[in-house]
Amino acid sequence: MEPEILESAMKRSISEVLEKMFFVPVDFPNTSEQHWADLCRPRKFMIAKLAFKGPFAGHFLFFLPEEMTSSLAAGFLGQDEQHVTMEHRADTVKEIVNMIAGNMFSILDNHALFNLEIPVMVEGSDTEAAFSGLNEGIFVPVQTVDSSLGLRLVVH
Amino acid sequence: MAYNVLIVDDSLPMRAVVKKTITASGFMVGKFYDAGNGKEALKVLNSEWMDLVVTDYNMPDMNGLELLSHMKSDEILKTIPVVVITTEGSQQRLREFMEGGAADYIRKPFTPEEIRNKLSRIMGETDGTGDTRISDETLDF
Repeated sequence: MEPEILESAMKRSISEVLEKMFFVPVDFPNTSEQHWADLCRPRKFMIAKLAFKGPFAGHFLFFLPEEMTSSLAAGFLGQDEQHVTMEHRADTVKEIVNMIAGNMFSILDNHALFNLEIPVMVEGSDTEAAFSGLNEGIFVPVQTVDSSLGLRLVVH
Repeated sequence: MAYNVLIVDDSLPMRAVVKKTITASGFMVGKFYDAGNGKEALKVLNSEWMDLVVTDYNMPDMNGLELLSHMKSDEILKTIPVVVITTEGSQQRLREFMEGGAADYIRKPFTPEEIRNKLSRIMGETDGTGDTRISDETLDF
């Protein structure tokens, strides 16, 4: 499938999920991956990975700043941020990438059957590896009012 | 009448969102029950009376479709309406839910209004036979 079509579906899905479920308006800056990485590298990120199979196979990597995961999880749980645990944050990040992926495939072709695996958190040395693979696949940098996040799609 | 509702999802935040949304919709909820996957759900269903099950599809150990299958093969549990919440939008998958006996499905991302409308219709149309399916006509087979 054409990268431009995939990228367009990724953007639309990100918008729909973050705006509909989290009331977070997003923009897609016209910036290079390296510039995005330089901007984000000083911050701590939580990264979720979701593999899939279907008419084509691959995986998503979803990069979300730690401070943003706290507010998103608090909103989901209906609790103050001080009561949000790391597990809540991780569950929220995994849920978001799950929704973005499923919604994206529906946007692409709702007659095609994709099987999504259970999302997992990328941790330890794999975190740096996720950043170092920035030129791999299709990367969509996302800007919110006060955060930068990103979604990578790698087709195997 | 107050309904007992079982929320099945491996994501605690998502269970919280579904509970909040159902509560905000004005349903007379007697009690919410939680389960992290289909196996846990069956344990709850075998020990507590439930009026409605709202389950995620993609879960470890036993997914929503497998839970549905177990429930429909049980003389008592098969009468309980099951709503599947899913990120998946393929017509084939949605058809599997409905043919498996789901009362309806809700696509993620969802709005509170979508959940409210679906559950209201399901609980309003439940006639005790377990035949509460209402979405077949919306699928493009």
